[in-house]
Amino acid sequence: MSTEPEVLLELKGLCKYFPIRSGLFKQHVSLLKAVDDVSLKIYRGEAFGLVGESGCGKTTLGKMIAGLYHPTHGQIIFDGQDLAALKEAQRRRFCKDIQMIFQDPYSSLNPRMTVEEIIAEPMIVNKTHHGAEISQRVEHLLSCVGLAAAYKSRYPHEFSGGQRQRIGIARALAVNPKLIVCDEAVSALDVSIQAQILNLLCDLKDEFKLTYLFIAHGLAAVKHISDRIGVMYLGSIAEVAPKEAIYDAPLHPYTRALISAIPVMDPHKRKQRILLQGDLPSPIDPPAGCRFAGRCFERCQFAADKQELQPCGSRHLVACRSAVNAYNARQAAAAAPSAADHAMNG
Amino acid sequence: MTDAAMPLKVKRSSKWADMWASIYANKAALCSLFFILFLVLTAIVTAVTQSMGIQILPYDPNTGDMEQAFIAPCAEHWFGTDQLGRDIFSRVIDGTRISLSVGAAAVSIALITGTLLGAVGGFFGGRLDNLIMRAMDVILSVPSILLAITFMAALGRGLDKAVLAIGLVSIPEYARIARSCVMAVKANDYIQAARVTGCSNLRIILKHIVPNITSPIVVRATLGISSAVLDTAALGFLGLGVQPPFAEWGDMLARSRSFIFSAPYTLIFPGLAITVTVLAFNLFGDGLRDALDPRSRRR
Amino acid sequence: MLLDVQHLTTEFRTRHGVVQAVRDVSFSIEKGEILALVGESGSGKSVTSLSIMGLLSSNGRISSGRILFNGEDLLTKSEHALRRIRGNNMSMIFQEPMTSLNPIFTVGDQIMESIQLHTKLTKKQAQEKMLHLLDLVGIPNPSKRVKDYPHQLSGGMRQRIMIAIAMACEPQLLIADEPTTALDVTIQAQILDLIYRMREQFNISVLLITHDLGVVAEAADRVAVMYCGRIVEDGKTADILSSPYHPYTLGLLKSIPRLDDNADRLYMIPGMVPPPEEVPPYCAFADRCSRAQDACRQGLPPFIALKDRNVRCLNYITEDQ
Repeated sequence: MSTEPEVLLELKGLCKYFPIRSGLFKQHVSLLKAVDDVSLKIYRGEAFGLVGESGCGKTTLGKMIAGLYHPTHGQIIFDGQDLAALKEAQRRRFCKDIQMIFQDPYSSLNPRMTVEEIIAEPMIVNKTHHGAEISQRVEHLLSCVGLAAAYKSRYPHEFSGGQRQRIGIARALAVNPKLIVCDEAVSALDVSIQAQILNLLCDLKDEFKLTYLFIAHGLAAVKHISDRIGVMYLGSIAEVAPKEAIYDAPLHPYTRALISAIPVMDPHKRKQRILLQGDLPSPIDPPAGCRFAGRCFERCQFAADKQELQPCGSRHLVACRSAVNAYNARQAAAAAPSAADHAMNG
Repeated sequence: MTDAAMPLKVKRSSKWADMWASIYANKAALCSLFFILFLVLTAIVTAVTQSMGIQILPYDPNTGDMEQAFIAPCAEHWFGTDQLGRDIFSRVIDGTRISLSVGAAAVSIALITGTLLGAVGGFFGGRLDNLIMRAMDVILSVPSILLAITFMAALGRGLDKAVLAIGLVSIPEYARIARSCVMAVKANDYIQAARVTGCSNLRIILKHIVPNITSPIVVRATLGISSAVLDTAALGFLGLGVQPPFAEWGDMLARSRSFIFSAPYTLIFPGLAITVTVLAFNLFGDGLRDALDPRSRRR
Repeated sequence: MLLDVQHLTTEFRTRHGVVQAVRDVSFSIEKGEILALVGESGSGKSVTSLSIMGLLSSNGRISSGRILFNGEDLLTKSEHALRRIRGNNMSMIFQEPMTSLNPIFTVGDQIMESIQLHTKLTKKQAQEKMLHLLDLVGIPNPSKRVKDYPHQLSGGMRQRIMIAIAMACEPQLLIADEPTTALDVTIQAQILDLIYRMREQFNISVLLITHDLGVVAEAADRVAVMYCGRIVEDGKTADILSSPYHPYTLGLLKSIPRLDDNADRLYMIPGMVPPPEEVPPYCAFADRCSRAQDACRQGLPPFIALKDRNVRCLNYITEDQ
């Protein structure tokens, strides 16, 4: 067994609750538990994919890491420093280490700033580069993301969606971040442009020695770029595993349903799919026991229990007791005959 | 990198050219623009020549000859003369300067204060926002001209005080527009991107929010000048604005109102000046709104 | 043959002059068939559907072509006759159901309105029909849900309501414009399943507009691939997805990340879709195509009819390549 790689970011019991006020004098307060008790490790140099349906809290989680939301409880330990405990001014010093790429290429660029101003801003604000250096670096970054340096004096409205996303990527790279949170970075783009941007992100990861937190609702795009994948459901993590394990041997029933919902391109192999009943329940007052129990197609005896992430094998974590039990039974069954063989031979 | 070779065809269309094309297509706005430019030029020329002691108006607007009183419009006095024998044409032209500068000054006061208050409220939200907007509601709940008169009563007469009063009462309009614009702009991802980048609140407001809320506010200011001109006229009519013998359109109306039947031309021409100026600013403001809003831009 | 679109050309007046969004598009749909019109943004797939429904915005017009519905040309009909056909025989559902439902009426009111507009049922009969429809589209507890307002329902539920409204007039043709794009994967699967079931049960024809080849593979019998306002390839879904002939179709298919493929880099089509006012007078894909020859830039390639499909390419890919 190899030693654990270096942890860049660790989340410990991270929660984000939004109060929902209702009533005539806004006296009734209920909590929308967008992110509820999430613990996660992201290793240096990996691409971690975070998948889930809309409303599962994946974007809220990403925004907490990027410093856009302050967590209700829990720790965000980045490079050994708990960001959640820092004051705003101190937190700002970490801005150059954690950058973000947004979903909508149209609303994520200020329409009144030129491309050069947009890409230079992080360097000016964080004082990482000065004077002529900035202009040079803007040109370098533009060429890194596949745009001609001559475009730096143009305005965002002159570019297409894919080109704008490239500008957004250049802005994120400007201050040499360690971690980039990609929030649905390709979902708004056309299929052929998605491929271009995904390839670009893969190339940049090696070139700039980046770590990605890649948030998406589609499993297919995440698979291409990620090393490990976490599946989120209703504010908490359902399953975390290396991508091969998620796709080839998913354990959590929700992950299995998600994978079976992906359309298969080959019409000869139209598969039996698991059709989940109903919609995602509201994160306001989520179910007390297993969060997935209401939609689960395998009604097990643990539905009323709170499900914690438990290890199945060395790098696989699942928040489903019955799946863990089934896994352990399979392991035992696989080990038993070989043990019996061993006994016979001996 | 292979992507670098991507052929890029980028649409080049200047915003200014688009805007001009839109205004040019709207004939009413175009005529209004020329009329406003003419008014501004008139105001500047009269102001400059007066300060240099050159008289380019046919008569001195502020001194009259009682023997020349109530002359109906004729070749010598195009708009006739008033009860003191002053040339109405010269007075109307001279009044342009006062009306326009009062309008511009009042709007500037309201624009700067209102935008600042609204932007701060919209950006930070919460209690501060509540406090600012409730104060604005209180101002809005009193008819503006009544409030302006009340201010004048407290401040005393005079053109400078009229400007201040008119400016103060129109603050809420700008505060509301600025606030709603800020809230809309704030929802854009680029504001979040700026935060992630580490921008301070001040930088976000100045670099990212203010440039994106200017167009609706500029439009409002154009329309605001017309209401400021009207308000000045109203205060002038009540004798609270400019003090004699200086010419101001509203004041001219007020002083000749007893001659409405015997010498109607003493009212018609200053009244017409007010109407046409207000109309021009309104039409131009509408055209400008269409030009600045790509959704309503004529195709 | 239920719907037969022949040489449809639709153009828009814009600031850049008159721009053709749909260029000489022909296709047909049989009774009970699901045809997918697939393409990226700007390919003209939505404009095609709006042309059929007569919902073009005021600056757009159909400049030539015929739209035969049950053998009658819709473009020569009077406004009144047209409205009757479109009301009773065709329905449309959209990408974002929230914007097509009226927020101030309950969903029950809106379904009732649609039923009473198209049938001569009494109120009681209409109510029964409404509950039946809601049951059909898989809305649990329909008698309670009809009292809900659109914002109280989830995206998937709203799309089901839209389908119920569309089915109220018992249409022969359902036009579904990106019906699943705004929905999550698990909900998307439910809605596709529902559309498929409606077809099985009522033998309606469906024109499915989508950018997602996965949706096409799941639901469509035949597919027409559009690029820059033209159909570049059409045929049976199975044939086209397993062996595309047109280089654009191939490029699209290859650039989708697949679960069963572990390649390091995704295939990508170089360049980007030209804006509609800059579409070249020759093959629009030639400038991005690795198979392009000089002849491709001489003029528009013809629509070549092959054994199992049509393809608009001079140098199309054959099976053995």
